[in-house]
Amino acid sequence: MEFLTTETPFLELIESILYVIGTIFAAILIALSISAYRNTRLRKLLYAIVAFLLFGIFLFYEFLEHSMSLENTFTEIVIPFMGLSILVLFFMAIVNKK
Amino acid sequence: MRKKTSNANKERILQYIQNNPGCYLRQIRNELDLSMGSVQYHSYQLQKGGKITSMRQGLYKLHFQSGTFEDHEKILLQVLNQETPREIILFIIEQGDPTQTDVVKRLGISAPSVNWHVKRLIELNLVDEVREGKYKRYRLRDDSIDSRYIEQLLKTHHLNLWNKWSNRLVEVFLSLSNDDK
Repeated sequence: MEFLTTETPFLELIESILYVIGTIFAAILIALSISAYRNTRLRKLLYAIVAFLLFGIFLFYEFLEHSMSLENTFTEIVIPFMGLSILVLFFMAIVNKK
Repeated sequence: MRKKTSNANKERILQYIQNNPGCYLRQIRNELDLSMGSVQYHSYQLQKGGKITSMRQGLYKLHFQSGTFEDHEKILLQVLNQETPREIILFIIEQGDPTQTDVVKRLGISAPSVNWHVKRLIELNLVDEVREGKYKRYRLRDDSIDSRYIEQLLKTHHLNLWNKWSNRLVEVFLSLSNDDK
């Protein structure tokens, strides 16, 4: 079980791969929501675009933090703030009437 | 002799575009068995001569006969590129004047979502909403484009995967918010 609790190069590699895949998916979702917005002009999709964009930045930032060891108080605020912003934007997309 | 063949090809391309509005160059090349260079040359000449027009839609350049339907074609293609409005129009063509409930049942999406799409189709002057007692019935607006023309466009213009996915994303947001407005 030590394998799961201690950082190993293998786990680090998996972590990096997951960040990259997540960022690619976020990019696809951004492009899809932009395309959907251009077709329909549905305002709530604008919230989704910003949310997916933030999610992409969030993952990329996590990846940088992980690979370059960015440990500072700014990071401690930015990560939860981004997570909260994404949730608020999705909430706005759902409750927004137009 | 060579000029005669060239003119014949030009005429064939023009006729193909008339019969298949919204067709693209590769489609013309394959159907008429001509070289891409020839198709490109003649379509350019036809456009220059004002006989056809073209518009870009994603990766494709779509071709139409010049004339009164140009604006409608653009609107129609914008609509036919989206899965749900496309299915609503097809269902109206098939049924004549279905009720809102019929559309909801056939498409398997929520009533507010159908409402939202139909409202857009009405704004685009493609569909009319008629009230019959407590039912709302939808029919194609007769004075805009006839159903045979729409069918022709549907036959030549196929939905791509990307548009299907982007349409599903719209459906997700519409059904999550259950927005009737």
